[in-house]
Amino acid sequence: MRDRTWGFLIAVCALVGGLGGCGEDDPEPDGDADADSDADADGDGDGDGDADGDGDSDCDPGPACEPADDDYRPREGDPDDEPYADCVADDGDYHPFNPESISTIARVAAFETIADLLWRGGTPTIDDFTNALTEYSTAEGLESRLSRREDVHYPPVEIDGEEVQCRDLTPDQQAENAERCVGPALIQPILNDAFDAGIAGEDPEVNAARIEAALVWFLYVSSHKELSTCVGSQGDCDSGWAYFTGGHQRDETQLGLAAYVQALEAETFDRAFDGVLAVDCWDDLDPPAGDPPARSNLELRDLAISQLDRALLRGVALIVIARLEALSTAEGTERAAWAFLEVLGPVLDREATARDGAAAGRLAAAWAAGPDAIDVEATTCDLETVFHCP
Amino acid sequence: MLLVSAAWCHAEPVRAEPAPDESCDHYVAREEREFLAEHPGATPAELERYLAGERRECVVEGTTDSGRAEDYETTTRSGAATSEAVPQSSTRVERRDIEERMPRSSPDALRYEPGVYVQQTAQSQGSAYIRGVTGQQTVMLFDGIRLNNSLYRQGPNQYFFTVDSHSVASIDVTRGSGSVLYGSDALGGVIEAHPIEPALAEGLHGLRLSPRTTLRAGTADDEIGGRFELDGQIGDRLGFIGGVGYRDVGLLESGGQIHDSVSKVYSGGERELVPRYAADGRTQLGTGFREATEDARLVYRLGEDTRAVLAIYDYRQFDAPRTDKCPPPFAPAGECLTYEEQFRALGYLALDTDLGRFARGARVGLSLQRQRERRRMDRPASIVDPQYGRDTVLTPGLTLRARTSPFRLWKRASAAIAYGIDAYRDDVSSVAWYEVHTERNDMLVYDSRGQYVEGSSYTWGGAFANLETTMWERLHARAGVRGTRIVAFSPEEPGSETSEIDRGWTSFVGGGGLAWDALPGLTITVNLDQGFRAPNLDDLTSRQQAGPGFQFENPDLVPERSVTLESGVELQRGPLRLAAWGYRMTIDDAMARRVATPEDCPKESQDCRGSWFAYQLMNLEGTAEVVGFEGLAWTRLPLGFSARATVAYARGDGPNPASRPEGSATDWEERVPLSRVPPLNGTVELLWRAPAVGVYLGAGLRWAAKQDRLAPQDEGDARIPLGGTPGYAVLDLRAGYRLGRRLGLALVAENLGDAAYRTHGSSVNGPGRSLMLSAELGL
Repeated sequence: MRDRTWGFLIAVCALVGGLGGCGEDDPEPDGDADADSDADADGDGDGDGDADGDGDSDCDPGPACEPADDDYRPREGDPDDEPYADCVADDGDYHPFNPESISTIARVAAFETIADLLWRGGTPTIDDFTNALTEYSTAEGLESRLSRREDVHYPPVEIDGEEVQCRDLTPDQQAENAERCVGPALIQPILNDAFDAGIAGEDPEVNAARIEAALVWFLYVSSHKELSTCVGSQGDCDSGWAYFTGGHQRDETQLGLAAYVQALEAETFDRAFDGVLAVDCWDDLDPPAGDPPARSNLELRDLAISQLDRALLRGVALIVIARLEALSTAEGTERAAWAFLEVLGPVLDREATARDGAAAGRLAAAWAAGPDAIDVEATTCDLETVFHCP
Repeated sequence: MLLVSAAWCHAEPVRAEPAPDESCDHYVAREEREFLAEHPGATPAELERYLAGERRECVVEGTTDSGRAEDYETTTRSGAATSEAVPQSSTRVERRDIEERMPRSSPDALRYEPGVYVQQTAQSQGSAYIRGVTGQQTVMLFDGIRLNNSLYRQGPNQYFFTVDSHSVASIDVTRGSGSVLYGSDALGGVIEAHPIEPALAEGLHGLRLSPRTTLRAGTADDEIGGRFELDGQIGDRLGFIGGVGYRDVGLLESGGQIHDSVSKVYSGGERELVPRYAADGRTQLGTGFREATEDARLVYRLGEDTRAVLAIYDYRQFDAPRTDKCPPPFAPAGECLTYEEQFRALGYLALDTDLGRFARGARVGLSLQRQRERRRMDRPASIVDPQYGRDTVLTPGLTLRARTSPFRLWKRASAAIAYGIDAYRDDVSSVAWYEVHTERNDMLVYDSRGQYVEGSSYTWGGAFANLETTMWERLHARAGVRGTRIVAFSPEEPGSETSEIDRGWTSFVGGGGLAWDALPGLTITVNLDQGFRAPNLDDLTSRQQAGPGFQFENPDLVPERSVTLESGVELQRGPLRLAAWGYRMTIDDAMARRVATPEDCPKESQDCRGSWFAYQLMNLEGTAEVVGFEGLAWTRLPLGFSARATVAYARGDGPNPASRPEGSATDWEERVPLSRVPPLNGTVELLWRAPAVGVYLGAGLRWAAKQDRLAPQDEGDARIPLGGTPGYAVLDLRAGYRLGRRLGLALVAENLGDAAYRTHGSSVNGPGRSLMLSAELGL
């Protein structure tokens, strides 16, 4: 069994253990786009799990999920051709613009290396943290991009009426605009502190978990950001695809964020991949034209991004739910699980607030409650409900 | 005869001196007439070389104490030209030019030379492109000692910048191949700096000391600096000259920003032009530096034809950001790659002597050069701050050069043979590390290797002979050959998956030329020269962030070989000098960057795989070529005016480094432009001098056309705007006053039109409208 899926399968097994759906010899996820994967623990095909693991979920997240009419659905042959006409992505593959120069693949590979060092191989040593820091901070590596990452869910920063990029702001200005300047203002400080503590020998599992959560956050934000900005830079589409999958097609072994999601719920992974292909399709249908070159159908781009983000958010929610389960069931790793949740849980607050203010309030309170006070079952239900459909 | 006695001789024939009230121009004109009367068959090149010395002497006489003129009797060697008899396209920048133009560096001093185009990756760097090539493909010499070493990188770098222009008396630029005389690297041309010499007056008893202080300031970059120099003599045999200098240069304000000239949805990944600007939109971040220099030169006269020279030149540059990486494109504003230390020290012991008819004007030199570069990458938001790299190369060298006395081939033909041997060895030390300094940790982590591999070495030696003949007084010919052996060694480094390299190359090159003095003052020349460049340690072993992307090693490279065919016409008649040269240089196995995939990168090189663009040098399959021309016109006008104009063009093409992609719908081309070849460019100068009162006024115009012939790698280069680098015209005004050696004032009003401009391939834009002022006081 591949190391990178091991930890997540444990969590999945814990989730479905009450149903006897996953024993120690469970096969690893094969990425075969089987909607009824083991991760869909209650077997209804809608992707919601048995949150409390007792085989009798008290949570009713809502009706079964169906793709929206205007979603791009290449696995179904995109039956109505609306609003997506025939396009290059109809064959089910992502089509890189510059397949020989996708530097993001290396950064996702670095994430995998760090994972092997810090959270897949038992308690990490000081040397493991040092080696992981070397991998993380190398030139053109993860940190180089993380330190300038903006979350394009939020509006650009304006100073004196002019848009400015976070990279050009002072640390104080970045902190004032932390939601947009998510990389330097929010994620990087977590990583700095966690690496620093890990190298000092403090709480290795806890700090490894913080690093893991922060990097997953970065992968999510980056997938969304790059696929959003490829309207002006086609290479960004490749980066977005690679930040999600590590540069792999649907039927290949996934890396990074896609591996997490696929291990937890194959259908959500497939829906996210459909979202990536939706962007690919839009780009094919709406090529840059004119002088200066411009796109003419940004509505379709927005539709594709929306489809993608919905699935990605469901994927992040699944990761959080799995770690919530670990918090309540695993022995000896609760502090690490909570450290992970403290970082990644609040990432969902923005969308939760947009979808269901009350649930968002409860979620925010949950992350503030601490590991001993959090109501795991209720929090899981809120997440399942708010992020019900990919 | 001058043509066979000047090369590598330490003394010119005895010259006349100007009358006390005679202007330099008048004096030089008189000397010209007399020289032509004495040497009716002299070529324009011979005449020009003679007159150059006369002009220099005249200026010196007008500017220094009595006896100072002898400073220069030892500086007028043949320069870097392949032959005294058969000219190449060459020009010389004199001390007076340097003082009046006030260049910011030694490369900057070459901006008015035809066919030379100075590109800058940083304000603290500068590299002269000669005939479309630079860096590794040109040879730089200081007083005959080779500066190039095996860590020279491909692009415009800081190497000639580390020659302190204050220590230079003149700089010769020879365009065209010089591999017969200078071995590997001399494909495009040769630049040789001649140091200032101590005055060594005969018959002096006791001690003479002549101090001089120069102060200089500039407004564009808040430059302020100076040099203290001491010229002295003890007895009539020992002379010395030395100085110490310092300058502090701030952020450089340009005339404005340079923009892409076309818009394009970019398919290769993001890109962003460098540099980044301060809030005023003009001041360029990633500029400025500090510089300290020291030099000392002892000359001991052992006899009429013999002298010994012991000299050391130490250049130290501090805190010089690399403009295109400060910050790198898209990076947070605080990130910056800085050359903390860019040091070069050269020491040598040379003996100039005359050993009889078989070794006239001989020079034996032992040299030791040390180049040290220490880089610091600041990333203030990271706990890994800073990251360091340090490379040092130590180069002992030996040179021996001499020439025979002229001998008769037959009744109407005489000849001489110049010959020599040279040997150098580079020993390399290279490390990289990062540091963590937090409340919890204070540590240092070494990478498995540096930019190069610790313990690498590069050894080369060669010998040459060059026959020069003059037949029927008006036909001159030369033919030369050189053999060179080069061995490159780099140990295996398993941690970085670096393979051992232990390779050697033996190369023979030849060259020849014919010059015909068609009319008095008119010479027509044809030269055909081979050149070669063996891959150096930078090509074979380096892993580094270069301008267009990450470059990693290729241990399988082979030498590139060139053939240059050039023809020139030079006219020297009265107050007019015209020179026009056309050339075609072909390069087989040319080394060029190909775009590499992340999979091509060494597995352990995360920074290679993570770069937007990764490159690897390769030998092009097929022949690359550079064709072009350069021209020079100079005339002396009435009333003390003179005018000078230059023009140059180069067009470089080569096989496409990328393979033809599969499929038919592609814009792939079989041949593509070579990278960063300068555009059509030129200069115009108008000068007025009144030597009798020590005043001069001048105006200089530098211009360049747009360069939109871009190599594939240029399109990802953050230094080059999409659509090409815009053309420009920059006007400077100069004025100055000199009262002998005691007082000198110089003023340059630079870029009067406040043009926003950059030389093609540079990271840094030229200075905006600004002033530079220099004041010199001496005793």
